[in-house]
Amino acid sequence: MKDKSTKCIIVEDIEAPVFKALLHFIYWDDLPDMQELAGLNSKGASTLMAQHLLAAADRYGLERLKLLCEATLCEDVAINNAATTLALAEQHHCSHLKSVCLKFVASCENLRAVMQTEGFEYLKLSCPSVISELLQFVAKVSEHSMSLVGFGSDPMPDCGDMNGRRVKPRIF
Amino acid sequence: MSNQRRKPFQIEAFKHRVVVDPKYADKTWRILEHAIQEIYNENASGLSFEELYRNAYNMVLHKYGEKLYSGLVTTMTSHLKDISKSIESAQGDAFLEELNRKWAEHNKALQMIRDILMYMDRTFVPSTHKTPVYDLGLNLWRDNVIHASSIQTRLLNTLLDWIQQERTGEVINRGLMRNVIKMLMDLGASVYQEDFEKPFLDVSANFYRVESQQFIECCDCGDYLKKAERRLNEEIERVSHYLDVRSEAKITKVVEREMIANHMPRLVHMDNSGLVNMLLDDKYEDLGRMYNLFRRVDNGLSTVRDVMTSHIREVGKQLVTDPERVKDPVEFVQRLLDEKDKYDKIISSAFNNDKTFQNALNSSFEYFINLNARSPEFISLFVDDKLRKGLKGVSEEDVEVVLDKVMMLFRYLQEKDVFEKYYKQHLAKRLLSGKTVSDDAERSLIVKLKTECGYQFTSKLEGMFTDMKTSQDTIQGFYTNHGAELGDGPTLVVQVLTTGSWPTQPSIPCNLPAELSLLCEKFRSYYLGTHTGRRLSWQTNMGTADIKATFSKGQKHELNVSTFQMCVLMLFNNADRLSYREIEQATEIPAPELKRCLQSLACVKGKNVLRKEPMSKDIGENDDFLFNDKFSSKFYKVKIGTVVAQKESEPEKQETRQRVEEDRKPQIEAAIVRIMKSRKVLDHNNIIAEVTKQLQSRFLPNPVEIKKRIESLIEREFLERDSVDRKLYRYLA
Repeated sequence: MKDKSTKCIIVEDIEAPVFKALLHFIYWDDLPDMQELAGLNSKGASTLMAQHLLAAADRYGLERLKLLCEATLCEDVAINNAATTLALAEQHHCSHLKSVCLKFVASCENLRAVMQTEGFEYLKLSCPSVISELLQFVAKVSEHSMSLVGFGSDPMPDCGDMNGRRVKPRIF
Repeated sequence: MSNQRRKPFQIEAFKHRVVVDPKYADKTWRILEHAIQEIYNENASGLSFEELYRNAYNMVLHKYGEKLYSGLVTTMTSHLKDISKSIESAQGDAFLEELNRKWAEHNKALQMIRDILMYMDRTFVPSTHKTPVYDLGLNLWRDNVIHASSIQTRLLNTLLDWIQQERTGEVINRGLMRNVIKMLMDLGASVYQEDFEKPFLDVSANFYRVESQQFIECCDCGDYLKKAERRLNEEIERVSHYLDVRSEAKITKVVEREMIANHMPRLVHMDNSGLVNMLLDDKYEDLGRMYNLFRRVDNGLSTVRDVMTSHIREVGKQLVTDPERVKDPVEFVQRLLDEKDKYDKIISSAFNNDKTFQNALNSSFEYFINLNARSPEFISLFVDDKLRKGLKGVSEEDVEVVLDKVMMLFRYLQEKDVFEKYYKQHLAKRLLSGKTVSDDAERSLIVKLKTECGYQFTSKLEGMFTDMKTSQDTIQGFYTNHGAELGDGPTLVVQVLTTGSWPTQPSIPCNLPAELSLLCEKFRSYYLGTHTGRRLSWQTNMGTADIKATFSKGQKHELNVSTFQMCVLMLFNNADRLSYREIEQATEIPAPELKRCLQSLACVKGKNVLRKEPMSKDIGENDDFLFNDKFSSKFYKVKIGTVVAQKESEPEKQETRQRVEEDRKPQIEAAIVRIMKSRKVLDHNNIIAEVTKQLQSRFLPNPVEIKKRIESLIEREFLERDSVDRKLYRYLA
């Protein structure tokens, strides 16, 4: 193919610093300093960086990089990035990250706040199926908290509700 | 990007582009479909890998993986159908070439397509459990090309045809064959097996069935085996050049079955060229070939082994029962050794030193050697001959070789106690006459016998050697003490034999000449002086004497004679003529011995120091004897009547056999007692079995004899019969 003899290959849909980090990883098996790359001093920025890198890692088949990014993102889930991270996890088949995000978003404290982020709008557009999953998740979570509040006389030791069903979150 | 002013990077949350264009999927697919076609048309140089990869990635990302995959299947299938038509239309030899070329092209295209669609392969395919792109490519090739009705049979027939040609000696394009076969292997083991290997094996079986039938009608065994071996090697070579290595075992099995297993009996027993003929003519190469081929089939080697065994047994049986052979014992044993050497060589050169064949050889020898009851005696005579003269001048190593061979025959004997008896007799004669060629060789054989049979077997034999040595010392001591007074008298050499160690001989007394009897008495008192409590009796029938005799013309000769002969001759110092009866009276030698003695002095040409009247062959009791002063011989020393070990006469043989049987009785009894003492109670059959096992290193006991010994032991109250079960015996302490 003609790429062999081309001097310059244009790669679309990837930011330059992200690609640079990718190349660094390919050659050094190590991530460069995220904050330096992101150009800002905030933790939030390095988290977003991890998102970009995860997409790139999946696209180019770098399994280890993908896992590293997944691990970082699992730790850094927050209101302001939960929705976009969830979309990312869904599109790039990161089951663990996805369940962490779902759990985070579905919890009573976070749900309303996340729903008000810009990312949530994006999520609705790009991954509508995730929304229905989220809904199911929310339903289960509230069942669980209902039983904790004292609906049944004795809460079952294995977190089952009064109908004896397990309420522990399913791993997607 | 310009270097001067770089836009500061503002990181934002990662968001994929959301696709709103309803025709997005179609547009993207069309790009990829076009690319696939260009790749198949070998026109890929204008394509951008990055672009195609990205497009495929985007399709999968935006959940159009299904469309991409099914599009791939459709496109590839239609291309393969076109390819199939092009292959079909090829004529003759071009068929395989076209197939091979198209296959190579397909592989190249497939790799490129897989590389482009790698993201789908990695993510979409596993999650939907579809076939990965590369395998899909192979399967589609298989289904649309190889299994196309117009190609499938034609392909197989072409391949089998080419192999047939090669088998008839033509040259084929092996490289092309290899590529096509490899293609089948790449498509999966079941394709290779179903579309090629199974039919190949069937066709080959038929081919070899027919060919082997032709060969066997017109070839002799050796030639047939050469041909079979060649075909086998050909097939192995064929596999190594262009078939799957796992086919080797299968095709060789076919050849082995058709060419060897199915014709085994006919080959082995072929007239004039079969196994027996090969053995007789020492055809090492043919035998080796037979061994190597037959070991590949079930029962191959056992067939060869059985035929060889029965042949050896037959040959051996004829050898040992042939009346001509039996006349010369030394020759008899030498023939046995030669046969053993022959078969040892066959087994080592042609049969790969196979232990089972060695065992078969041993058991055959054991079988036929024991068919002749005189084998133990003959082997002892053979050894005697070797130790007397046969091994003269032979190097130490070669001596060992001969003795080891003798031991090997010895091991085959069932009646080792018979051998022991004869060996003792022969050894005694050798020692006493001083006629052994090498003391070291004698000792060496004793050691070998001891290793084989244990201390008991050889203790008496060793005693004999000890006696000889001790006697030397004794005589030396005698002369040291009495040497002065004896001065000019005759020199005495005495061997003092311990009775138990030496073969029993009745001691036959006779009258010694006066000078000698004095000397002997002096020796006797010297000996008894130093060894109290012993009894000496002179064995005059076993001694020898050296006498100086002067004849008429003044010739002197030294005569080496037996003691009896010496007694007779010394009488002629005082008389020129004596009658038989006078000699008998004077010497008191018993009649049979005396007759033999006189015969050797008077009737043997060249040794007749006496003359007999009347001249006749036999000794009559009325004969007269005269000193033959006309005796002449070109040698100064004349040996008359040495005591040589000879093959026993019939009555002697019977006697020895009887003595052996007598000796066996106490051994059997001792074994019974030993067994019963430890077992306390045992039934009849088990006693027989145990006794046989215990004694088998010496001889094979006769069950009838064992029964008699049991009866005898019961009488003597060593054992008793059980009151209820008559077959059960109990030990009485």
